[in-house]
Amino acid sequence: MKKARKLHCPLGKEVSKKMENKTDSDIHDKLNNEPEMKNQENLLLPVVATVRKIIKETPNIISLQLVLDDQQAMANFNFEPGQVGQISVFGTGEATFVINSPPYHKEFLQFSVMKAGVVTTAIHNLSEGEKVGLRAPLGNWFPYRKMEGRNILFVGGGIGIAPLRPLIFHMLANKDRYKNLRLLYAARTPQDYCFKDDIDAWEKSKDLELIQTIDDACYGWDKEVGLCANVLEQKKPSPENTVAVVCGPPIMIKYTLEVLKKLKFEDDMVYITLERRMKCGIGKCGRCNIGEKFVCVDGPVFSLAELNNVCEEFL
Amino acid sequence: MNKKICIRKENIRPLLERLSESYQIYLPVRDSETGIIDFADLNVLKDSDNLSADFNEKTKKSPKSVVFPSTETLLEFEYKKDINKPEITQISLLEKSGNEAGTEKTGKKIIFGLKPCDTIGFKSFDLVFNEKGREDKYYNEKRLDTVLVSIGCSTIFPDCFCLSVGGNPFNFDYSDIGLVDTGDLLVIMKKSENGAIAEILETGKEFLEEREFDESGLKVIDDIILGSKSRQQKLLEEAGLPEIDKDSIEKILESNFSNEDVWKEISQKCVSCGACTYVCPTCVCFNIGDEVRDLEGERYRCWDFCTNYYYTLEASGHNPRGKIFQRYRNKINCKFNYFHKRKKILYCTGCGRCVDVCSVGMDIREIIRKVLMLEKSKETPLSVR
Repeated sequence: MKKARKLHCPLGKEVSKKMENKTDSDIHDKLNNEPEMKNQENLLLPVVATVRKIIKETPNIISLQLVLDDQQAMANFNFEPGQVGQISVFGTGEATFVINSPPYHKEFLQFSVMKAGVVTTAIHNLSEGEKVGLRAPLGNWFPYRKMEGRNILFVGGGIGIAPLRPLIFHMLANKDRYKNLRLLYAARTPQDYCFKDDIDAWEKSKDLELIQTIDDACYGWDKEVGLCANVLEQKKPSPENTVAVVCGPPIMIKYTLEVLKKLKFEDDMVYITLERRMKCGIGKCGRCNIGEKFVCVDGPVFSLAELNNVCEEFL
Repeated sequence: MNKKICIRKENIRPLLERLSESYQIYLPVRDSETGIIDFADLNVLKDSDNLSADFNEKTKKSPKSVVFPSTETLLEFEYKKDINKPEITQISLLEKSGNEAGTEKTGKKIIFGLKPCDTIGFKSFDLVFNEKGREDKYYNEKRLDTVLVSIGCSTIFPDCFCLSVGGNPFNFDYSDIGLVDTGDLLVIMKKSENGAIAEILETGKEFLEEREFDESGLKVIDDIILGSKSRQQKLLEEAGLPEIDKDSIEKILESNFSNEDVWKEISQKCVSCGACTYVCPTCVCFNIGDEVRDLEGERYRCWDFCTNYYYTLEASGHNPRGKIFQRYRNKINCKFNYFHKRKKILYCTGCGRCVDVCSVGMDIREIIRKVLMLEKSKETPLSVR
């Protein structure tokens, strides 16, 4: 029980703020006077999880459903939409993926993995029933409470739909708290669409307006054609009381943000999730910084207003 | 009234040997064969004729490896094959204790004779690894029992510049015990009031003595401290390197971030070797990797450096800091801007080790000067000289 509760302990921003107010002598005294700290949790130690199911989404993307081996921990596992986890294939390494199953869903945790490097290839080579390591949840999440009472415009490109998925499910489950939900989902070709079952359901749903687009016209495609940003520009969504949530490859984010700016979306009404190479996931190893912010603990979800204060470019 | 605990120089070795019965002692040691000075365990010193303690000179590397080894095992794993289901392997994990493997003694450590700037290095580490709610177990297991005994710097070396980054040669703020060398004595000028320190003083009391210091005695100590400070002050003035105003260097770096020409010029010589990072007392970045042989393996972490191309290289091939000037800019910003924003201190202690070790003659003091000049001149980079 205790372990499971600790596992959830969200590594959020509040804690780090508290720390900053501490004086040097506080820290120093603590170091010398608090032996009980030695029993602290080891945040770099993964828990073992079993691959429950592997779903082939596209030619190079699979979805991986994981179940923690510790049943208690699994039952008590909580996360917020947008939070990430580190999957270990022992002997190969660890990489970060967003948890994309709905937060209210307790049976398994789903991650979608595009084959790109060494670890993702090892994950693609896993079979059902095999063991992996998991450190989750890490990072911050979409401020969905702040978004209540507003229209939401989701813009997802390719695998960038994955971080949006738990948020979409959360909002659909609590539809009365949100106004219009719109999703612009762009992929290169029809084959590159993930979550086909979800798309079918969303197409039929009255609660969500779904716009799909592919880069180039192709036989049998009766939906939009064009790059994500271009289609967004054509559709001219009103910025009125609307929050935009954007995720996708850097180039797509770049042009989408330009269009949103043209459409007069305010910076604090635009949220994006970012990725960087990560190792520790707890704000220590240093590499995922964008200026003074660490994507692993201050992100991966940022409002555009937050990022504008950072001197380093985020794309 | 002005009683101070002192250690006579000839008693240092016996004192440390006594303490080594219950503590692991690290001290700066000179190898007479290579001339290299580095922190080493007292036991190593006992076994070798080439080695001798040296509390005057600066060590080649910072003492960070005592609490943050260059490579350490995080966990061990073993795959187990189930013969009934040979395609599925089970895994067992073994968490490795944070304390160094193979030491029979308790985890208590004393780092004796480090420089005050190196204690600030430990502060930099504590601020990162001991963040509330995100404590690093491996680090803390080694750090919590480590006592820092520093000796103020009577000698100022040509590459020292602690005064310009807000330190000073006798800054004992982050030392558990602070000592001043008066020639034949080490005088305890600062000691933390806690159980661990009391225990050390009790253990070694046979080799410690309490002495009365009258006004002239205190003046001798003051003169040593002030003399050393003023000598460094003078050197820095000659070098045109004033004390950095932390807020203003943060602002300058921020406003010149996209001034790429400046950064290209500054980083021109850098070959991304990372030597500066390895000797730095504040550089904390690490990498995590797996090693495997047959069905067994381990996950380790090891020092990494931000001027490394692979540091930020993503699996997709995208590299947010693919060019050397971007990486070097990040390094300087990390030390003088980002960490000042996050933790309100500069991640540079002014120890000068990176200047000493650089194979192409990069000089962080020169870079600080150039950066500070940017504000004054606001001119094109080529005139910034």
